[in-house]
Amino acid sequence: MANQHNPVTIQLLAFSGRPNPSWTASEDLVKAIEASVKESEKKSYRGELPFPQLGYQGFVIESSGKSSGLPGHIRVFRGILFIGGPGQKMRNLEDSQNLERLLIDEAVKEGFGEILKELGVK
Amino acid sequence: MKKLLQRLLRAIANWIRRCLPAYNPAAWNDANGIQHHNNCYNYACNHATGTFAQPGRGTGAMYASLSCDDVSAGAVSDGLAAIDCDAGCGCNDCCHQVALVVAPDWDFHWYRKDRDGKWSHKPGSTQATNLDQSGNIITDPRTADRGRYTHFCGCFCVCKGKFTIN
Repeated sequence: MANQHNPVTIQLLAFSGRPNPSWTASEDLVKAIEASVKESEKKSYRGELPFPQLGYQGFVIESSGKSSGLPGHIRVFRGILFIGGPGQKMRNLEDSQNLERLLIDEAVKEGFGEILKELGVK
Repeated sequence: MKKLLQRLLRAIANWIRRCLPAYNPAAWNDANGIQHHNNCYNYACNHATGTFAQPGRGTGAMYASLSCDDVSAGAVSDGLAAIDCDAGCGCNDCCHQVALVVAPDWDFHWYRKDRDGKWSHKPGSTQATNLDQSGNIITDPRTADRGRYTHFCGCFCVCKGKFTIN
């Protein structure tokens, strides 16, 4: 469970140069992310990976890895969870629970709807 | 004469190795901190600060608006030198070439010229790549597909030991 000393932060990958919008996940959201990641752990993603581009590139979930059951670093983009963290090798999982959709909806609630609209994300 | 030529070629090779960045995305594309906390400006300057560096912030002159003029001024304050893109940076100092583009009032982006003469970039927190928005190798950022980053601001030289970014 996240707490205020070790928050789980979500970052919307919108920009290349300027800082990206971010927010601290609520406890409910952390629980939902944990459940989603746990379920997605069942299936690795083995398809083609998207090449890096300018514009919307998904979300990054960062946590200390101690205060929650989450890996230190998760990127969610186009149906893939890219799992990493300090000293860890990258693993790719299928976003079987559509975590990206959940994060898009949360980003809108956090006031980033206009940015998503500009990026063409619905 | 042959020895002189060999020495000259060796000196050129050493200068290239020392001064021009190699296209080596693996050095930036990790599973955690380096990739995520360094942006296009870090990559272009070939200097990972882990701070998502902003033009001008390292020297107390951060850009005020997302325009070519303001972001360029921030970069110049950091020690980058504006140059003619076709002239390059020469070989008197240890410098490599970078290019600034802007999506007006939205964002800025940088490309860098690598040792192989091609250009590469790092879109924000994502991986470094030598491909443009259409998936083509970047031979010139002026003509590459840059998506909404439509304003080409110009080229700059980044010289080893002569810039400060943060």
